[in-house]
Amino acid sequence: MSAPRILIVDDDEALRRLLRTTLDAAFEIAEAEDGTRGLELLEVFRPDLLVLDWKMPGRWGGEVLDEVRSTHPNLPVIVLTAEVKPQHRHLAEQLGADVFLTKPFSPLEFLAVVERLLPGRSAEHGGA
Amino acid sequence: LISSLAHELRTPLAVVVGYAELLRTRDDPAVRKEASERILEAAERLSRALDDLLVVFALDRGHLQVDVQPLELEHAVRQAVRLFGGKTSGCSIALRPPSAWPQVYGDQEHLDRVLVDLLRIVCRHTPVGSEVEVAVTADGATASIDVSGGGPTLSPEQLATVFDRLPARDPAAGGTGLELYKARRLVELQGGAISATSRPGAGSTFTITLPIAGEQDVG
Repeated sequence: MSAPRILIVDDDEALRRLLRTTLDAAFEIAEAEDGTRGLELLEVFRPDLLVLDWKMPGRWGGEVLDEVRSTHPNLPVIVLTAEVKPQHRHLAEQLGADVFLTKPFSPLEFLAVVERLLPGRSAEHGGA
Repeated sequence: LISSLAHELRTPLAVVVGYAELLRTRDDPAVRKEASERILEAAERLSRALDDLLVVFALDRGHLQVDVQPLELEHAVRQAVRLFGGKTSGCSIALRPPSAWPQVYGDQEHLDRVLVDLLRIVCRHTPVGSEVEVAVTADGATASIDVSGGGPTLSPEQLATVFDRLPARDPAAGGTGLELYKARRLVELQGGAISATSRPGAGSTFTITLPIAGEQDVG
């Protein structure tokens, strides 16, 4: 079975790199620095899971998620955001996010969520 | 302001927390090296965001201490380049000195702060391997410090507001959105002015002008 593919859409390079290192080589990763590029990669890369920032320049996470749900209704989506207000969580859930995680977050918790959303797909990762 | 900055603080904090956990749970030397480097970078970013926040709060309340006096512009500029140079990578600074370095009226600490912030902003938008130029000129009444590089490229609309208080991560400013607002306020408090010019494809220049100190102040 090929490695599960994960698309990371976040405007912060350091955060994207943290997620890539957390997921390590067991996953195939693609990155986009904004929503527009993320939607383009969605069609080319065809991920098994989308990790989506909420507040980004240009097309923000809610707008991206709305479009993703119209074309990929079953794609698991983790919203990973610094927005902690309940209204953001409620909106993300209404738009179809599977999980809403706030920054800062635990990489172990993040990995557990990924494995829950990709049952039987997530490969062994380089843990302790 | 607080809400906007909370977002800008949480992301580098997530990088610190995340990599700290990877340090605790991963044995791979490459991951551990990356983690320690990224934690340091994120901590510096947090420190800068906190500095922006504290300085702007103090400015808005009129509590910021500014000690304007004659100072050697050469020392101020070279110190800022040195302070910045040690922290950056992939961005070299080319200093173009004037025919004779003047003394100017200014506050050494705040002038350093503004120059380092400008160098960082310009460097952030300058292609790796390209030079950021710091050109100093003096015309008798004022001294000018031009900081030029690959960017950011600013539209006329952005140029009109780039020294205002902007939202965090505004495309024109990036970061907290307060760096250029802070720069303008600090330069003005020193009796100077700051401006920006930008041409598509040719990058941007930020110019600080400061009054040259009179003969009676020398020594």
